[in-house]
Amino acid sequence: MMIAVLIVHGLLAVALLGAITHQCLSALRAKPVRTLSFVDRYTGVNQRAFTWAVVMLYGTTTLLGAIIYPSYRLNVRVPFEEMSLGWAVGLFELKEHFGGLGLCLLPVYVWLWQPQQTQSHARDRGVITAILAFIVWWDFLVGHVLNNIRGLP
Amino acid sequence: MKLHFSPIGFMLAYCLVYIAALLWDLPAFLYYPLDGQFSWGPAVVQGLGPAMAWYGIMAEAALIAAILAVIVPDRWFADRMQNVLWTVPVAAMLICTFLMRTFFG
Repeated sequence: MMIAVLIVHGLLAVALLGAITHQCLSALRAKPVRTLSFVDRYTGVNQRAFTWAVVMLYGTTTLLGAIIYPSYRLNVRVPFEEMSLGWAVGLFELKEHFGGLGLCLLPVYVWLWQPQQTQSHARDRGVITAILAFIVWWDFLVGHVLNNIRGLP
Repeated sequence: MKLHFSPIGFMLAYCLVYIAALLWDLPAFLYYPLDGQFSWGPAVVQGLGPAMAWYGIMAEAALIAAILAVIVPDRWFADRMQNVLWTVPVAAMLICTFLMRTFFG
């Protein structure tokens, strides 16, 4: 059962990674599309269209992560500690706390992407979106590396 | 009276409470995955196996932040923190990283 939840957690994380990266790069580039190059097409999207998808994916992915967490605590972290892999435990601790802090960014992220805030909070919008993208990338990569060291039984 | 939720106030309060709970080890409750039990407060109950504080820290931060986000007017934050909002979560993440340094020593 936990393996199935872990796989869905990973698949949703991939979708989230795609959505937030797309939106973030597009927001940071802030340059009108002139050519038909891959980069222009990639960044020349309707940035607001990603907002609710990111919120739903982030919330669902975190919820599934929270369901898996007790299994990790018993079956993965304890062996890590026995193998003296403190750095691996530390990486997961950061994943956990960054993920938890990312949750509180979601309401302000939605607010910043509303049309009323287009002019007044441009820097906040770009940086908050970049922070969310960083958290998603960090959590994805750390989860992947740790699962390679020792997966859930 | 109509209640208004302040997303900025929620973010600020959540970050502050989360970091405070982490810094002083003050989760609202602990979860013991071995037996599936909970205990109120930060004190670890012996004999129940490893304890998890993350759920307690998040619930505590979310609850306090939600209350403050309704009480404090949104414009108060929006006017004073325009374009520096992002510094709070960045600071929170840096403090988290600093607190976790013992794992990498």
